[in-house]
Parts: sequence; structure tokens; C-alpha cells
Amino acid sequence: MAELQELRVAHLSGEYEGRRIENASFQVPAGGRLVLLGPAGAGKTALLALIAGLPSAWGTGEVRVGGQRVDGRPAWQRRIALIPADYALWPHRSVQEQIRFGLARPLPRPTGEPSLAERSGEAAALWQRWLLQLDLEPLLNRYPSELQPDERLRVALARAMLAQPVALLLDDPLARWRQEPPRVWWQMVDRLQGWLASIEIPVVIATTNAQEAVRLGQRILVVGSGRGHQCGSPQELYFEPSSIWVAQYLSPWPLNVWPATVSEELSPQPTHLRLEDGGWELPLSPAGQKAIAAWWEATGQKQRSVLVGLRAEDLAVSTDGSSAPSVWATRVVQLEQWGWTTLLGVVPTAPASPAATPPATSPPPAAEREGSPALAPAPPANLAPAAAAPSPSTRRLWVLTSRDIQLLTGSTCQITISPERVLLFDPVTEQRLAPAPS
Amino acid sequence: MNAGPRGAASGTRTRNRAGKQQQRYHGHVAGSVLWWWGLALLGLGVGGPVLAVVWFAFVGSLPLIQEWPPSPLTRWHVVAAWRQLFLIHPELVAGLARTLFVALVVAALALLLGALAGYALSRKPSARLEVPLAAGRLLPGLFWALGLALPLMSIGLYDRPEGLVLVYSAPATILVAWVTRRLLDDLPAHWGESLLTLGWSPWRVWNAWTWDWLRPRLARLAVLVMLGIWNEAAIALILTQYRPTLSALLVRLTRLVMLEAGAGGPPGMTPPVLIPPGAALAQLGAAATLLALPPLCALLFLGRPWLDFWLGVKEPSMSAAGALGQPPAHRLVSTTSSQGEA
Repeated sequence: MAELQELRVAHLSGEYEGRRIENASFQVPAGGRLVLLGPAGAGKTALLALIAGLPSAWGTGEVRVGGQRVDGRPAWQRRIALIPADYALWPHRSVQEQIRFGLARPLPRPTGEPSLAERSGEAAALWQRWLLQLDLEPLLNRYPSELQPDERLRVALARAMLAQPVALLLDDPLARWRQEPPRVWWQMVDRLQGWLASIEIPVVIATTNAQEAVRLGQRILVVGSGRGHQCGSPQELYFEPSSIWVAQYLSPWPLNVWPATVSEELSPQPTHLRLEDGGWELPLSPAGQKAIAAWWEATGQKQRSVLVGLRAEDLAVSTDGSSAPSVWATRVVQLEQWGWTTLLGVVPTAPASPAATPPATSPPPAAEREGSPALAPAPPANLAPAAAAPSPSTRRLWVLTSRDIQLLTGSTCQITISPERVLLFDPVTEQRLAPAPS
Repeated sequence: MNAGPRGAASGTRTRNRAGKQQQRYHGHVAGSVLWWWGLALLGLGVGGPVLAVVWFAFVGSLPLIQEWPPSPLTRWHVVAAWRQLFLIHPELVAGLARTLFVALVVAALALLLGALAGYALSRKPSARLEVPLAAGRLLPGLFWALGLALPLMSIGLYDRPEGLVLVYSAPATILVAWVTRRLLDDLPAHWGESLLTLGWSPWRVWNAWTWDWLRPRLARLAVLVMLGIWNEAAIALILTQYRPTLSALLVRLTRLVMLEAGAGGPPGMTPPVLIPPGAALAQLGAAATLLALPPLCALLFLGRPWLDFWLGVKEPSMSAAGALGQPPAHRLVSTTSSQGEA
């Protein structure tokens, strides 16, 4: 049995098949699973190819397995198995031949490990284990063209694991299932989770799908435009995204990004901010206050423009007519009932500042009603829209709410959000504003 | 009766089923008719000429028993035309040997150079090289012959098998390069690279996988090249004078026979070789069968994969469905039923 070692990648940069990756760093413990999450062309495959040391990938940086540098070695001496997205099952070989290829690795192993002859018993045990675990016994005499997609993945997995690698890399293994109905895809993620759970070596999986990443990975490295944006657990990435891009990529629902200002005029200390569209005010969390105060101190300016990120699922909707300063009066201009939830598009009804005064009072424009359900009737008298209509430049705030809420297009409601859930970003770099280290 | 609507619905279903069965039946009949029609056409197109030349060779052999040459031929009367062909034209043996030599050497050269070029092109595509490749496939063979005849004359290779080898090698190499590249396009480079990560050296991966996959296909390609050279006559006619290949010899023989049969020609002109009357068609038939023998043997004995390859039929495992991981239809059905049972 090969010893279990961690995989550590540091400052890895390079290119593979025209895709670049810059300065990627992460660490995967033995038995751990890291997911590279990013859109197509982000550089995930390039990163995997650089780690595996494929001949057509070139770059710089460190790849360490168990503390030992392997980046200077060719692919066949690194023992980092890579399963490409199409599984690379050769058409002219049966399943048995494909799998045996993994088992019969002819090169001498590093000193201190048992020889090939000594490994014969171990090889037989491995063969039995993976054949049983992946249920490949009935498929041994078939050819790749006769296999179902999940069977092909199982064969590729068995071939890789029988080679006893020190780390396993999977390049978008479930891409094919994303074209299937969600139930089938969900089941396949389940099955892959089960298979990976029994693998004791570090596993790195590339995917474009955030749900897959959350389900398969213990940690996620978000990759975009050829660089690693942020690495962390799914919870860390969700609650503490490093940038707007990361926050948007991980959330299944729209992230409302609104420009806002924190100025001395609003409060002597940076305790509140004002959204530029709608003029709403919002209290800042202690962390946000620290971040802004540090910037005030550093620059000497008492006004700071920021971008505010409000997740649709973090906004709370009520219809009780309360009017606290942090409660925003809005009017529903779009209503999408999904069955298990309802997505609202709302705009401010009353300005909180003179700068954001709406131009006129009128019913909602026809263009805004187009998005509403066809069966939605005109709002009843008791839910008549407030007098304000949004100007064309007014942003729409997306709110995710309970499926039981009784709202119609044109009706009014109040929106609140906990200050802790407000994300602040730099308007230029779009990076998250983090509090200064104490 | 409360069974009315149900009965009506069931009647609709029955009609639908009957309609589908009828459609299937008509489709089946139409398919059968087309199949037989296609078979008849193929029979006429391929079998007709073969039967014709063999018939003329055999029937033409019979009168030769009495007329020429005399008695020793009695045991060989069925193949008299073929025997006579070689007796009258002993250079046919030399032509046959020459053709085989040229075909083998060209196939070997083209395979070596073309496969290497094709491999290089598939792993590092170059748009500039596409043009010569396309030109090699589009330009007529005569162009190569005419373009190379003069240089060959100047270096003393005209009317020599070596000259023919040089001329034939150019388009054959391009053909092999082209086909090899297409073959390797089905094997993405990263397949081999991913196998490296399992611990095998590049040479072993190449030998055990790429070459193992490529070898039978290159063999089929080599046979295709050899058959092409065996069949080719136009270039051989131009580039040979006293040392013709088999096909060039047969073209000249045909001209002689036609002259003997009085098919045109200026008045008063006699054929240079006198052939006994009645033997002309038999000899032509015999010559034609000789020429058609290797391709016919290839057709009859080499099997489906060879024919599919020559006809450009995509292998099932390399079809789009295979590449995308789509299972064949019968597998889908069986899987669905087993899932249903589960």
C-alpha cells in the first residue's frame, strides 16, 4: 500500500493547450478533496495538467507530494493520476485490458517500497477491491463503445486507482451528466461521492458547477480568468467571498450589487451607508465599520464609495407596513413563482433622500409588467402600488422569499437585511473590503 | 353501454397500432426492395465485368486446343488463354515482378514517410501544410507523371522501376500522411498523456496503445496503396518504354489486339505481332482477370474491417456516439428495462 501523503501546490503558473493559470497555491491532505471551481476556459484543466506534469504543459512553481518536490519529474514518475474529462478510454481495448494497464505499471517504484513481485498479492487484492467497489466484474469483456457513461467513469477510476497513485486528479468528471435531467445528475454526484469517499489519497476535482463543487469538495478553489481567486470551505466562500465574482459564482441566486457611499455627512463614525439608487440607508456591521474606519484613517478622507452586495436569499420581506430607517419600502415589479420559492424583483417606492426622488407618479410601465406572470391580475385596491414609479435607471432588487407570501405585481412590501449579511466591495477592484487586522 | 368511450379509446389505440405496424411493414418492404435493388446493381457493376472477362477467357480457350499450340495443351485447355498469354508475351512475367517490386517499395516508403508526416501534422497542425496535402489529393496522377518524367530522364531513371518508385511515392506519401492524420485525430493527444500519469513511459504508452491501435490501420492503408499502384496504368504508360509494369503491358496488348481485330488503323498497316484468329478476345479476357485478381482477392478475403477502412466507414467505437460516451441503442434499451425491474 502506498503511503498516504498530502499534495501541496505553491505558486504554480503555466500554460496547457492555450490556457494559462497564474500563481495557484493550495494544499490537499491525504484523503482530502479539493474542487477547482470556475467557468470553462478559466484554467482548471491547465492547472491539473501542470500538477500531473503532462508533457505539453509547461510552467513554473512547486508541486510537492508528502513534502517532496515532484515538479522537476516527468509525468510518469510523479504518480499523480489524471482522468481527463473524456476519460481517455481507448476504443480498441476491452475494459479488462484498460484496467490491467493501470495495474501493470512497469517502472521501478521509489526506494523503500516493495518490488513488483512482492506486490503481486497486493495487486490481486487491489484488483478485487476496485472491481468489487466499482462493480466492474460484468463489464470486463466489453469495449468502451458498449459502455454507459457512468460505466466509462468507473473504468477510468479503476484504471487510475489500480496504478496506486499518490494523488488523483479528475477533470470535470460529471460534465456529461449536466445535460441530463437534474435527478440523474444528482444521483451521479451521489455515486461519485461514494466512490471518492473510499479513496485515501488527495483528490482534486475540476468542475464548472458550484453545486457539484459544494457536494464533492471539502474545500473549493475558485478559479477564473487564469488565476485562483479564493480557496476555502464552501461555508467560508459563501459567507466571506473575496470578490464580487466569487460571490456571484457561488450563489445560485442573483447577487444584488449596488453602489453606495459611507460619508461623514451621514454619521460622524462609519456606522451607516447610503445606497445610491433608492437612497436607502443601511447600518454597517462591526466588521464593515472597522474596514471603512481603517480606510478613512489611511486616506484622511471621510467619504468612501463602496459596492454593496446583497444576496437575494438574505433579504427578508414583510408586508406589515413597518417604517424603521433600515426598512426599505418597495414595490414589486416582477414576481416569479417557482413552486418551492418565490423570486421578487422590487424597486423603491419612496425616496429616502432628495437625490433619489422619483420623477413622477404613475402606474408601473408596461415594460416592467411584461416579466410578471400572465395570470397575475391588476393589484387590488388594498394593495395598490405606492405612488412612486422607478426611473429607468433605478436598479431592481432581487429578493428570494417564501412561497407562501401573498404578493402580486405592483403590491408594496418592506425589505430588511441583517447588517452582518451585507457584503462590502471596493468599487474599483471589486475585492471584498476586509477589516484591518487588529 | 358504459364501455363506449373505453371501447372507442381502445379502438383508436388498435387503429394506431395497426397503422404503425402497417407503416413498419411498408418500411420493411421498401427496405427489402431497395436492398435487393442495390444488390442487383452491385452484382451487375462488379460481378458483370468479372464474369464477362472470365467467360471470354474460357470460351476463347476452347478453339485454341485444336489450332494453336498443338496437343500438349489438352490437360490445360481450360486455362489455355492464360498460358498462351505468357507464352506469347514472356515479358508479362517480368512486368509482374516489376509491378510487385514497385508496389512494395512504394508502399513501404509511403508508409514510413507518410505516417511520420501524418503523426507530426496531427500533433502539431499547420494550416500551411494543408494546401500541399490537398493539392496532393486533388492533382491528377498524370500531372505527377509529366512533371517528373523530364527530371527522371535527366538523371537516367526513365523507364526504370526506381523512377516509377520515385514518381508513385510522392502522391502515395501524401495519401498516407493525410489518412494517418485523420486516423490520429480520433486519438486526442491528451489520451496518451493521461496514460503517462499512470506510470508508463512515453515509449511504452506509444507502443502499447497508439501504435497498437494504428498498426492494423496502417497495414490496411499499405495494402490500399499497393492496390492503387497495381491498378495504375496511365503514369506507367508514360514513364516506361521497354520495362513496363503489368498494367502498362496490358494496355499495349489491348492495342495490339484491337489492331488485329481491325478496329481502326490506316489502310495497309499490319499489326506488329500476329496473333492466331480467335485468340484475341481470350487473351484480353485472361489479361483482364490477371489484373483484377489482387483487388478481387482483397475484396473477397480481407473481411469487413478492411473494406470499411477503404470505404471510409467510421468504426463504431470511434463514431460520434462512442466519443461522446453515448451507449449504443440496444444498451440503452436493456439498461432501461433492468432499471425498471429494479
